Amino acid sequence: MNFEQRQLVVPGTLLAEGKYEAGFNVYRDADKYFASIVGLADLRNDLVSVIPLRGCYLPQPGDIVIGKVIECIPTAWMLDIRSPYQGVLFASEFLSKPLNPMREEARKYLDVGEMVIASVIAFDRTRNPSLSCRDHNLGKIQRGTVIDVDATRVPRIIGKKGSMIGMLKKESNTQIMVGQNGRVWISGKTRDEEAYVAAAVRKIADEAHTSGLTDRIREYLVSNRR
Amino acid sequence: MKFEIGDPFSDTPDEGVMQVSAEFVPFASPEFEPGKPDETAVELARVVDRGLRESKILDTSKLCIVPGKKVWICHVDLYILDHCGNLIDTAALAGLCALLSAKMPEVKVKGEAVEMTGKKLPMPLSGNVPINVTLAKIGDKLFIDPSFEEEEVLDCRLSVAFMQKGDDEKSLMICAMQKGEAGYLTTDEAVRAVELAKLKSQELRSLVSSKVNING
Amino acid sequence: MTTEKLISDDGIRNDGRKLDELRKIKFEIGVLKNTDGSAYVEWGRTKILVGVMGPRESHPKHLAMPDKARIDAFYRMASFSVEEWKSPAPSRRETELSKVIREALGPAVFTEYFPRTSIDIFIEVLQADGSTRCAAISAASLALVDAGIPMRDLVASIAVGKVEGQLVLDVQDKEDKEGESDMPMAYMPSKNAVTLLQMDGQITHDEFLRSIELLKKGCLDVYKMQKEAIEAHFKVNESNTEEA
Repeated sequence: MNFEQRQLVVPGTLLAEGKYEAGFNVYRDADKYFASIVGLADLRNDLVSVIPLRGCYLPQPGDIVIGKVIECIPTAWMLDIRSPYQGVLFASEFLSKPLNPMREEARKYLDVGEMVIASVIAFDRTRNPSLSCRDHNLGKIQRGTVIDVDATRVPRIIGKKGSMIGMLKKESNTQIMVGQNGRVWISGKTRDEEAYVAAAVRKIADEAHTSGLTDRIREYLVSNRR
Repeated sequence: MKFEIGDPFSDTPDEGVMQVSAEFVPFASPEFEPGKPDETAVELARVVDRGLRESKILDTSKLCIVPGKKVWICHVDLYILDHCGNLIDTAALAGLCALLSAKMPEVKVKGEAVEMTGKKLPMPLSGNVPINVTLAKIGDKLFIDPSFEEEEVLDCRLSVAFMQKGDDEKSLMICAMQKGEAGYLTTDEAVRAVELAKLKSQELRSLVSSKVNING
Repeated sequence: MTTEKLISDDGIRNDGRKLDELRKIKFEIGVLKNTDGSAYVEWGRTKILVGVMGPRESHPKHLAMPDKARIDAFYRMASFSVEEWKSPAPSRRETELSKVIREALGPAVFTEYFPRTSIDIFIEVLQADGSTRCAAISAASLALVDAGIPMRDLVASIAVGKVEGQLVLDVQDKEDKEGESDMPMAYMPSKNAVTLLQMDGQITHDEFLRSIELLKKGCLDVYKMQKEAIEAHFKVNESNTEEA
C-alpha cells in the first residue's frame, strides 16, 4: 500500500502493488493499482478504491433521481438527469392509464421544464436509462425548491445510515428528497424555510470531507431557524 | 507543381514561397468526402510541407524576383487518387520527386514590369533530400509502410524525415517528425522507430536517386 | 536577422534561464462556471484557458461511437494572442494542432466508460509565447481531472529546441523562431507513454536521443507542478472519519 487512508490522489497515482482488489475509480495494470480520478484513497480489507471529489452521475437501477423534462415525444418524455445520458420516461411508467398519442398529447400530463422524482429501472450504457414513477413518493414535483449539487457529494448529504438527512429533516421540519444524481428537492411551509435548508445542503456539499460537519450543520440550522 | 508570381510574406520580403496542399479525391476512398480538406488532409499537407521546408532543399531566397514586391510562389499540390495506405510516405516521395524534376519559368525585370522569357530554368535546389519513413505500431510491434487495412487497426504511427547533408551517412539529420493517431509509443519504441526510419530512409534515397537527379 | 545571441557564453538564455530550466508555470483549476471542468495556465508569457464539456450526448448524433466516448479538441488562438492580428478564421495550423492535441490526450482517457457520448476540449490561447501546444495539453489534462473524467494518468508536455547548437528545454517564441529546431513531446509518466511527438528543424540522431532524455526530465517537472496544482485546489483540511 502506497498511501495513507483518505490521502488526496490524482489520476495515475500508484496506490498499491501486489495482492489487492480494484474498487471504484481504481484500475489495475499487471500487479499495480492506480487511481483514475481525483479523490481520497481508501483501503478496506484488500479493496483499494478512491472516493471521488469530481465526477458525473452514472445511473444505476434502483437509484432515485430528479429529472427535468427537456422533450415530449408521442408516448414518452426525455429527462435531463444531470448525466451523460438522458433518461426516458415512458407514458406507461408515469400514467395509470394508457396514453393514446392519436387522441392526446404527452405534454398535457408533463411539459418541458417540469420536474419529476423517478427511479431508474434499467440502464446498461447501450441504451438510455429508463425511468419509472410507479412507486410511492415518485411523480411530478408540484411544489417546493430543487437545487443542484455535485453528485459525488450525495453520500455525505444522506450521511451514514441516513444520519445527516434525518437530522436536516428533524431540525428544519421540511420534506427533503435527495436524488442520486445530485438534485435535492426541499419542501417547507415557506420559501424562506426552503432557502435556508437549501443553503445548509450546499454547505454540506462544499464541506463534505471535513470533520465535525453534522454538528456544524445542526448549529447552522438552529441559528437560522426562526 | 505550378508556379505563380505573387507577394512575399511580410516577415520574409526577399524570399519566395513554397505551399504544399493535399486534396483527397472522393473516389480515392469511401472515407473521403467532397468539400474542404478535412483535418487528415491538412495534417498530411503539413507533414509533407515540414519535411521539405525544414530540409531547406529549396533555396527560397533564389525565388525572389523584385525584393519586397514580387516573388515566386511554388505550389506543391498533392492529389490522393487511390488510397491504399501509407499516404504520408507516398505523398512525401511524390512531392519530393515533383520538386526535384520541376523546371521554373525564366523572367526578366524591366522597370516595374516582369516579363516571361519563355525559357525554363532548373530549380534552386540544395542536395538536402528529405526522405520520410512512417513506422506503425500494433501491440508491441513496430513496422514500416502500413497498408490501408493495417492503418484501420494500428495504435499509432511515427513519421520521421531524414535528410543527408553531405556525402556520408554521418551527415544524416532528422528534419521532421510527427506522431499520429490515438495510441502511444514508449520512449524506447520512439528511439527504435527513429533508428528503423534512418535505415529505411537510405534505401528510399537510393531509389529516388536512381530515378531523378538529386543533386539539383 | 538579429545578431543578438540567444545563449551567453556561460550558458544563460536571453530570458535569464539555464539551458534545462523551465519558465515560471502557474496552473489554476476550476476557473469557469459553465463547463464541466476547466483550467488556466500561465507558462511564462503564454496564457491559455481550457474548458471541458462532457461526457455528454454526442452532437451530431451520427458521430457517436457505440463502444466509447468520442474525444474532440478545439485549439484556437485568439485574434489578439500574437504580435500581429490573427484572423479568427481557423488556420491549417490550428486544424493540425487540434488533431495532435486530441491524439495526445486520448490515450489517457478511459473513453470506454462512456459509450455514445462526447467529450469536448476547448482550448483558447489568449497570449502566445511559444510552446502553446505543450501548455495547452498540460492544462487540458487538469481540466479533464476537474471534470471528473477517469484517466490512466496526467499528460504532461514540454518542448526541447536546438538554439545556437545547444539543446534547450521549454522553448519560448524567440528561440522557436530563431533557433534551429523545435521538438514538443507529451508524456504519461506512469506508463512511460509518448502521446505526442513532433519535430521541425534539423537535429542529428545523437541530438534526438539526448532530446528524448531532456524531454522526459522536463515532462516530469511539469507533471510535478500539475500534481501540486490539483492538490492545492482540492486540498481538504482534515480527513473525515464519520464519512459513510
